[in-house]
Amino acid sequence: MPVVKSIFSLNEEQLSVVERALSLKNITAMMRPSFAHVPQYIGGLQDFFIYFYYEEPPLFNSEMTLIYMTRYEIIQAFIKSPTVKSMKTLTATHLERSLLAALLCTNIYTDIFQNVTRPQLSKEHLSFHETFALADSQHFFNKQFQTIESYPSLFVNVQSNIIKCFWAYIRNEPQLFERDLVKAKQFLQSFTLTEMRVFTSTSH
Amino acid sequence: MQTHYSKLIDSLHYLIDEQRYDELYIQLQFSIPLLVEQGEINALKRIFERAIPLLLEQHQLMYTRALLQLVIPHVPKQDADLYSLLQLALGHVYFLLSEKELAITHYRESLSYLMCCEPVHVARVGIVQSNLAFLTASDDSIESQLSYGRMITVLKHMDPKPLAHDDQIAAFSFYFETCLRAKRFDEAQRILNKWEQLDFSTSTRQQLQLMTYKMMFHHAKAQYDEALAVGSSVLQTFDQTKNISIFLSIYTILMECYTMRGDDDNAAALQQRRNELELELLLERQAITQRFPINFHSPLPQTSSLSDIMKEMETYEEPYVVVVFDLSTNEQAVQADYLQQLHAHITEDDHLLYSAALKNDQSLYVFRGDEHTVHPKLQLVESAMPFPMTFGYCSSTYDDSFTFDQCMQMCYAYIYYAYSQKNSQV
Repeated sequence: MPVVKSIFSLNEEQLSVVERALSLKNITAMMRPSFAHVPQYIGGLQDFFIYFYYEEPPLFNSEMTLIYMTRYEIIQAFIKSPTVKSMKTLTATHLERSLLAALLCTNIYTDIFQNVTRPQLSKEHLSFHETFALADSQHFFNKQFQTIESYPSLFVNVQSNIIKCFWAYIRNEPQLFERDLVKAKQFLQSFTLTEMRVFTSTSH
Repeated sequence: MQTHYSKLIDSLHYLIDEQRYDELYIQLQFSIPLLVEQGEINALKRIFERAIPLLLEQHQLMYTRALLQLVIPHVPKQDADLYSLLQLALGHVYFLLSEKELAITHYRESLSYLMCCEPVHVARVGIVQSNLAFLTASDDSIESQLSYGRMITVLKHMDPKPLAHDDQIAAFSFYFETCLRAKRFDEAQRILNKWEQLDFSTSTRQQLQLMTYKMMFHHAKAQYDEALAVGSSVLQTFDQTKNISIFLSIYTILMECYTMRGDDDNAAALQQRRNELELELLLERQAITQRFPINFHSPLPQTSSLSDIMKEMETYEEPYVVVVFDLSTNEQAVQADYLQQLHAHITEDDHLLYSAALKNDQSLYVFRGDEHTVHPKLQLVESAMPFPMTFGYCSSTYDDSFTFDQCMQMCYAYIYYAYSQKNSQV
């Protein structure tokens, strides 16, 4: 899975950790299949991984959070949940667990997008999203694009709509969102407890 | 519950029962779209849940592939349970056909849909992850292999299923060997500690495997005295005429340890003993080859009887292949007389189980590939595999008998499919 631009400010060492995690194709194959090749969602997976892996996650890169506003809003919504915060206590500094937690959260988000957001988007917005989700959003903000259009208004509108739908879902269906997060946490807990049971060293 | 399509469904089951696969294929060509269109997805599921294990057991790989390729495009991906299972089966088929890339593709496809199932089938995920780890090992970095090894070890302990013990040991082996290669000695030590806590009271072979790994561990850390101490205990405790292939490896390590300590006399003595063992093994292999001149035309062990067979097999210390075939024809009855002289076991339903020592089959090394072994000279047959090769059968509608390698590949498919079937019923 290719590493995409991060919304966090990463140093080289952090970047190499992300690259290592995303190179684990047998594990990243557990991502929802329809989204596994879309940079926007790979980015989401990457953001979650960074959040879960680092006890103190790197600072957000403000420019990138504007360009990748959907990703930024998604992670903001998730990390507000106490369940997600408590998942982090299981994952920090553990690469496989962090990747697993990131996959579980990404899958929750993509399910919400598929089942809730997608049906609410207008035909025009949906078509635009499906076409341009495959591209790097940064193109909309580079100088070349600005010679055609000074401000990518349609892109921003679509993203805003997606974000609004997502936040509305969390507001209106908090128990459903929480239920999915709790399930993810239980899976992660089971994995962690097993890992500790198997690998905690006993004196010999 | 009777539906409009009951007769159609019954006829498909009938063709499966009669093993009339050509007709089954033709009939499924028009039945599948019809059944899907009419929402009879569960009926379709039952048909394939019966047909695929049967076909795999009979090593009907081409039919299996054809049927899977026929049905997969019609199964809605929303039915993640069925879709992932079919992709898993297709992954196995390509695995058996040595189509590595296709096997990886279908296993990964299966994995992504397994994660869509509610609840997630942890055991199946473990199976697929293990197969993938094995298949991708030659392309993966050591860091990736470590992650996969750790992941599959945890998954195998997370949702223990029948045969879990062997399964866990195999995952430990994969991870342990990777840790040694990566020189992660602390982690390797933890694996050995945990392994030791498991109950080995019934398996001399697993005890031997553990001791051998301890020796490898000390050898890898250049702790030659410790390695020799363990080796000496192994030589005194275990019968060398059994598990010859492991003992060949043990001798190789011990010889290296003596050489590193400058003790050429002891190294030479061990070399001589090793040569004797090697000769013994060669003779045994020839004997085994002579015992397998048979064309097998066999019906199969039923999946439901797998646990009974496994229970019996647990008493064996050697790796083995179980050949199961029917005694209903005259031709096979004649062979039965011959086989009965060779520690054959006749089951209640008149099937013959014949256990043959696996010992040291070259084809397994080819299968595994030298680059994956921890030590070029140390090739533990079972431990080199991601899962123990403990059950198999030989069955064919072809005229020629299977090679040992083919038989082992069938074991692979069967046991994995049996696992996934069992897990799907949980």
